[in-house]
Amino acid sequence: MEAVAAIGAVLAWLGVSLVSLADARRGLAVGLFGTTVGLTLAAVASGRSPLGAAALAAGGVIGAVLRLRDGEPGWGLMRPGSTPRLVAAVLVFLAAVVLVGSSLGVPVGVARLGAVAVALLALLRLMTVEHRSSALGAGATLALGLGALGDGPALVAAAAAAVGLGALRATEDRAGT
Amino acid sequence: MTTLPLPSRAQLPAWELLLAGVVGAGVTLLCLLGRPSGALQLLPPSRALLAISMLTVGLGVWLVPSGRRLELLCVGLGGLGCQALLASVTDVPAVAALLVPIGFAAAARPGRHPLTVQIRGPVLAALLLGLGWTLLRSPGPSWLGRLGALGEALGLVAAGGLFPYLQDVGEEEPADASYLAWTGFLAPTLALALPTRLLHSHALRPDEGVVMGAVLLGLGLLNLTWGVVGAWRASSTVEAWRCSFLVDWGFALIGIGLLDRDGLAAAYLAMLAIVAVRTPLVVVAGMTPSIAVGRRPLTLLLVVLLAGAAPFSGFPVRLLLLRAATQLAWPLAALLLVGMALATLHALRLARTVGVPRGHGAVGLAVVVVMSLALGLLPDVLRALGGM
Repeated sequence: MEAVAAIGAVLAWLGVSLVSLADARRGLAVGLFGTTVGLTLAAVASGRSPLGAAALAAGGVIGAVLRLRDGEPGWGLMRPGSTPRLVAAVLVFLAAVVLVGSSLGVPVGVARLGAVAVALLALLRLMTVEHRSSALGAGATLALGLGALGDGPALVAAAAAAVGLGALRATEDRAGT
Repeated sequence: MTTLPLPSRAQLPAWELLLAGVVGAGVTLLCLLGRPSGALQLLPPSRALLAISMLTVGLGVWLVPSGRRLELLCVGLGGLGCQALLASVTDVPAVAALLVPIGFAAAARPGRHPLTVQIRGPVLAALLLGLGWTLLRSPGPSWLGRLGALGEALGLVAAGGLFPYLQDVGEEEPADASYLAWTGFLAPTLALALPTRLLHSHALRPDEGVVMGAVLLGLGLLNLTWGVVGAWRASSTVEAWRCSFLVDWGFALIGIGLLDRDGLAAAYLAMLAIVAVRTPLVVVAGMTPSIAVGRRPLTLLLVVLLAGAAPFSGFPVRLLLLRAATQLAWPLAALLLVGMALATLHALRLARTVGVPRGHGAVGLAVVVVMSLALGLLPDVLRALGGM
């Protein structure tokens, strides 16, 4: 189970890294999908509530599909100026290892590593984001990461948050840029 | 038989707002009923705050021009739903996850700042609270737990947009679309529910409690000072009112930081005063152009009210804080006395920003004064209602 949790954590980190590096709808949706799959795998492997894990998976996938509706078309990966985000993706993973390193010997700790890395990197993206669609993608990822830090109710709350953020329009006509 | 006048299509707000209003009303009802049980539980202080918030929303809706009433009712019901949810959800990571969409929903209101800027406060608060909770419950060295306690304290302050996370509030920005919606309406719920849950669940070890208490105490004193000086020196009226929230929040943070029965009761009464008195006063002040006339009876009344003198809402807060502080350490009580004396200074500036209200504004102001009197004269009844 520890190996499954580790695969999940790494997949979640890769997913959030993609969200962090993408500026267009396909990149954001695939990143969100990867994060969801990774966090769900880690949650199941660490013995979290199966219903909660299923809700997380469903919410994340729906959120990813909804993200495909609007925003800039394409992948929008690694645009000029994204190098600091790439560096941050690596550094954040190392920071997460330092924070939860003491509990990495058990699946719960490994799952927590993935969730912490997702939440930290998503927050960094949100603090520097300029476009509404990227903010919504990073916001959904942050909610998934925070929910994965808890058990049943938190997983369900994260799923609801991902769907709710997916439902918000990425067009920038109502709230400015 | 008379027919009720229905709002014309042009007056109807966007369908998203109508949906937010309906969902908010439904969520509030579920939280009040505590359904589903186990996942949602509204503690007595949060229940009292929610009841006061309903009055504030009703007053706010009544105060705005008739063309905006339905829109503000939807926003208010949505806000009440968010408030009820943040107060009722028992799991801290769930609260953190919910803060993200609530933050986005609030930031999506048309305002002066783009969504990408407005969202920064709530998401930072969400991360600090979620990560802090995780570190509190992680096995490992004790510094991790203390770091977690620091995260919880800073998360609480970040959610309110307080010093050092001050958010910019625009001169022409409506209160419901600016960060004041967090400072004056949503964050007080979090500040009441979170410490109560942390204390009830015994999630904090003594050393972690000391860290959280010390950080809140320090930030409370800083916010108190920053608020008084800021309100006095602010170039705009909106900025002065925003700083005045910091004064109330400063007292509340100190109360929570004392981690004492009287301190928590003071914080509870301060939160009620923020939602019932300070927030509606901002709306009333926005409706009436300020005038440069001193010593009007209304100005004098507002000076006394805003200074926290008896018999208004600020008085029992100050009294309880002094009692709690003297039990902990007398130098703290002396420091608090200085802060309280300084806090009277900002009242003079703020009272002058409220002009002569007429019509709805005059009735609204009268309601606010009555609410402040009720909070000031019946603190024991309110404490009993809130189980404090």
